[in-house]
Amino acid sequence: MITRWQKQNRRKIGLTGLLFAGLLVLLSACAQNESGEETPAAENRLVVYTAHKEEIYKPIIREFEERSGIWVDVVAGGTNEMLQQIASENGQSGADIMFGGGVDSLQAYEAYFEPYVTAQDEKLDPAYASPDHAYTVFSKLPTVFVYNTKLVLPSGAPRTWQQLLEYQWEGNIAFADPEKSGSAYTALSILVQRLNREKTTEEAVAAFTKNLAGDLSDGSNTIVEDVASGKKMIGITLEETALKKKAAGADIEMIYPRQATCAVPDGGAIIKGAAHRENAEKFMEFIVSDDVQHLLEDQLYRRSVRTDFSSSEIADEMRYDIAYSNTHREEILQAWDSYMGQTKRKDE
Amino acid sequence: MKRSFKTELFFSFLFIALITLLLSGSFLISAVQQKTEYDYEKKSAQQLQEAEEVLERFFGKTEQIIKGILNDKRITESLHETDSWAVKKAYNRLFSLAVTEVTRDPAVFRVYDESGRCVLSTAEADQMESLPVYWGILKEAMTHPDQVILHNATYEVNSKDAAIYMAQAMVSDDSCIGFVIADISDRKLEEILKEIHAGESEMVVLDEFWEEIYSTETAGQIDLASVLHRQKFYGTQETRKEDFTYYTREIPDRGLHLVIGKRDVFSDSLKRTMVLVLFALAGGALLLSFIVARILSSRLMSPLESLTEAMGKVREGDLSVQMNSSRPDEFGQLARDFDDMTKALDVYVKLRSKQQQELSDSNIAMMQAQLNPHFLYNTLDSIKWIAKANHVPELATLSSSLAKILRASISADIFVPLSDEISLVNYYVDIQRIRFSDKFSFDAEVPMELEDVIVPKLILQPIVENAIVHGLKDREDGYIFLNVYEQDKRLIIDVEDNGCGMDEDMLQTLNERDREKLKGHIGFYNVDTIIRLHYGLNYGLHARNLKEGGVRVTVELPVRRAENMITEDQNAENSGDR
Repeated sequence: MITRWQKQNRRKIGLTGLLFAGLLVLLSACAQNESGEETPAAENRLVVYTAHKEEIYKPIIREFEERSGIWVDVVAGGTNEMLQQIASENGQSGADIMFGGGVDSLQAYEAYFEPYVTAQDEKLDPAYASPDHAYTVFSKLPTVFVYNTKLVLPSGAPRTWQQLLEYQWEGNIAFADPEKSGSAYTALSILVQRLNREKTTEEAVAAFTKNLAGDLSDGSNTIVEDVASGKKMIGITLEETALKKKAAGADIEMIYPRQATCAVPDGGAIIKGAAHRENAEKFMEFIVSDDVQHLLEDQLYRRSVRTDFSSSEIADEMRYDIAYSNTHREEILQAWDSYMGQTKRKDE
Repeated sequence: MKRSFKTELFFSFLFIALITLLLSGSFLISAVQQKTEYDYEKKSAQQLQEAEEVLERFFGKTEQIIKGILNDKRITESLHETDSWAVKKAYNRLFSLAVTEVTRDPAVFRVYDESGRCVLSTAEADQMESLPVYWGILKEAMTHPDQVILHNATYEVNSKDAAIYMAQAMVSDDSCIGFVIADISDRKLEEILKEIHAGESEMVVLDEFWEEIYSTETAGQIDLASVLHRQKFYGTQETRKEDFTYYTREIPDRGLHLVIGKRDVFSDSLKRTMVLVLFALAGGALLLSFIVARILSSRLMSPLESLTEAMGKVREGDLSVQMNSSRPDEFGQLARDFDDMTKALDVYVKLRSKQQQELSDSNIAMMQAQLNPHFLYNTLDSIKWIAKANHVPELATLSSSLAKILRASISADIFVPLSDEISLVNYYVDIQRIRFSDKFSFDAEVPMELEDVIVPKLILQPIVENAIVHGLKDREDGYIFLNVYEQDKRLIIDVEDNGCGMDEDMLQTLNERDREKLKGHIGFYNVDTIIRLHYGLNYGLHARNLKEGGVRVTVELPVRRAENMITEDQNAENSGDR
């Protein structure tokens, strides 16, 4: 009698539990709310990884969307960050395009790119072109010296890389950490390459770090700030940054190093396994098209990579040895590390 | 029993209470939620519609101004004018067209020549920067010269704080001679939309590719525009901000999307709280069920308990127990029935014990009468043999008859066949006839089929004795007739005499069975008592005087035969054991 009753009761409790659970499900189901929006069709989509700053990629991608009717999703990040992501995704990436990043970096990851030859290929500056078209160059970024016009006379400003080592610049050079900033490493690498007839890597780095006096700017952007504000007399930076600052009315002037102005271009590439291959090709054509290249020099303070554009010509241009820069990276940075450490210790 | 009953009550109440509570609670919660969502959707849809209306009104007005500027000859002719007077005139026209009552703080209107150089501007301290004609708004305006283009200005080069450009190309003789651009700033959009979102919701204006044009401050903080863009692009819900619901509206003619986000009033935390309250109520219901079950079960149990207690007393033999319940319900009825039952039982048991007492009394009397029966029997046997040896046949008959009567009386049998009982009477009559010197005669008429009827032993002898000793004591020709017959399934034994009869007092006393007054007729009384104890009050003795003189004593007995006797024997033995 009692057992039966307990059984019935257990069933009742089970029923109650079931009912309650059902109600909870009902409740949570009510919380779901579908937006019911249609996503753009696959043939109208493109996913772009970019290492560019927003002010560069936004207008270009916006214009691309406008003209092609293709929806673009942008994932922005640092050059190494994006390239490492592409490597880790290894062809399974949802991304179609790597837009931006120095060609030296792109070359290092060329295995992850799909070769593509643009219609403008013949007109592109061949100096830094990918031998097997893994990437396509996009814009040139000359490395220049800047000086504060209030503190330095035009005649006294450094003209060559060697002059940067002169004693009067000790503690007066604005420079960023090459371990963090890509453009700073490029500059340091140019310096070493430029001096390697007279000095070993170690000697060159030692002499340069002595003039930096252990004081570094926070990043490539702050270099120009530091010079413009008068905190430093001279600096080494990219032409683009300097031009922008100058256009904003800062008291700075640029110098293109004599016989040794290196303009390492950045580029774009189609990622292997791109899901929207056709759109990716359209995008590659777009970034080397007249309008975009024109916009670069006209509005974005950059130089075109198209030989038929006047801005692609740089006086005193010296070819930057990408291979050397890549192979000696460890050595240069090691020297940097040890000598910067010394100067810092001296400071203390 | 008591425990399980209470638990059963408790669970029944709990079940009902919980089901009702949970059902109504859950339905209430979901109803409130759905109502809230519905209201929100309605309100948001209304807000979005209002937003579209105000924007459309503003765009329409701006469009009108652009058209006005385009159609103004002074302005179009001043594009390449260097004469400051002409420029001033053009400005005059421009301001009078641009500043209207609708747009008190109007959009900035600029006029560009065909190369993208800014010629006129209504903005204060304008840099008059040129715009590339191969790019963006001017290119598009050139491609669609017949209409006013609306363009997301956020990512246009040199767009400053412009959010939207509205532009149209000036066409003269099928060639583009310049452009008119209305520059609608973030601030302007904020001013237009402020009243609608009222600062309480997030609002975003997106272009046809769901790229950001304008975000309210709160929407900008969480970068809602890019969240929505990714959501649209990948069609996923994963980026959906918790506690926010978004409603969208498209303005297809302008290629714009309006999105309004509402913080869910019915947030998860509120829902959690409601569910918590529901659980708390369920806890309350649990407690209430427990209390009610306790009260109700004790109300039900207390009469049952006192009934059980009363029954216990009854079991122990106390039949005076009375519950005296005054309850009007079924329990009261039960208690009253119980009271009636115990009363009836009490009466029965008392009667029963009285009967038992009487039976014991007669047994004791019989035992006393049977004192030393074996000695008497043996002595009688000796007398018989001595009488035979001395040829005194009367003495032999006397002693042998007496011995037979004695044997019958000391035998353990309580019941004997009627034939035996009749022979016993015959022995007795033999003795009495010798004693009374044949002053009476005796006849017995027994039908054969009734000879095996079982009767209590020694019930006829006392009656015959009574007839001989009292009825016939003064008569010389006494006659006793014993007639046996069956009537209405009863065994009737009539014992008639032709003696002096009984006086009426005696008859009455006899028939009323008044023991006190029957002292002198103990035999008579005993026979009656024995019959009634064995067979109940419907059987027994009756006596009446006969018209022709004498008395007829009638013995009424049930007709029972040997097979029926077994149980009677046992009953008798059992009653004897007590």
